[in-house]
Amino acid sequence: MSTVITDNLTGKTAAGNVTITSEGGSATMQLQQGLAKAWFTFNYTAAQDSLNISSVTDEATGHCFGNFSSSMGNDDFAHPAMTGAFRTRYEGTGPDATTSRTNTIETYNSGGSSADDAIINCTVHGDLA
Amino acid sequence: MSTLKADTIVATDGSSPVTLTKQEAVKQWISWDGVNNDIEGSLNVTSVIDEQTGVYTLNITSAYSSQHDRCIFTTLYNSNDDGATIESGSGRGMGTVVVGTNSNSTIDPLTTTTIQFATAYGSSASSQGGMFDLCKVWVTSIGDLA
Repeated sequence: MSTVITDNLTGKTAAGNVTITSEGGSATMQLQQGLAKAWFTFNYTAAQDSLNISSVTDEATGHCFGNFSSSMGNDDFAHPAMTGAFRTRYEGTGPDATTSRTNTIETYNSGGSSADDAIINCTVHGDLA
Repeated sequence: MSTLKADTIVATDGSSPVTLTKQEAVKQWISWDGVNNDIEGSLNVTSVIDEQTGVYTLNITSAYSSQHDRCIFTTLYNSNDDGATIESGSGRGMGTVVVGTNSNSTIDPLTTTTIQFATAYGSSASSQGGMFDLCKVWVTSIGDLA
């Protein structure tokens, strides 16, 4: 087994494109596309841990969204979220996701009322600027 | 600081995948508009077939190595018009169904190249929760490719 020790990986032909081989060896994919570009875990007090998140905005009871440190390349990224005790959805009347923030994540209780949850997890997949 | 420049990374045998310590790449993601049947952004997705209201088949370009050994994450948006209006009845909760058989037997099992999923209302005392189209559904999956 060989190990390459380096601080950065950069595409030789195009800086943002490094190809890796699938586990089964029959396919290749772009390394950058498969990496989460941001994630955070939030408890309505603070972002407990995160990647590429400058802050999490607490909009209102049961409503929050993440702000990116490094902007996304467009607003068509996927960002599934999961919460602890309550149900989750993306709030329909709030602003859409932009290159600098996620959609508003809404958590609500079994009665259908918005409520803060102690655990909000969100990952972001797409293109960085 | 050092920088390694390469276009392709493989193991020393010339073909096997290289181990990325502390990293596991997502193998598929999509931002799907089920109202306009539009793939807004994606990775490793060939197409999405609109099977019926709220039911879709996602076709994967490079196959997974197994039918079940993967994690699938979904979240949806409770609007059919990009945020202008919350879906009526959304207070019951909405959900995505990604595998198995629902009450109408319309959701097919997973295959190595497909994920069939549905968007539906939650159930209530008077409704089972019908399928309906939403303007944004995010589906990501992680596992071994073939």
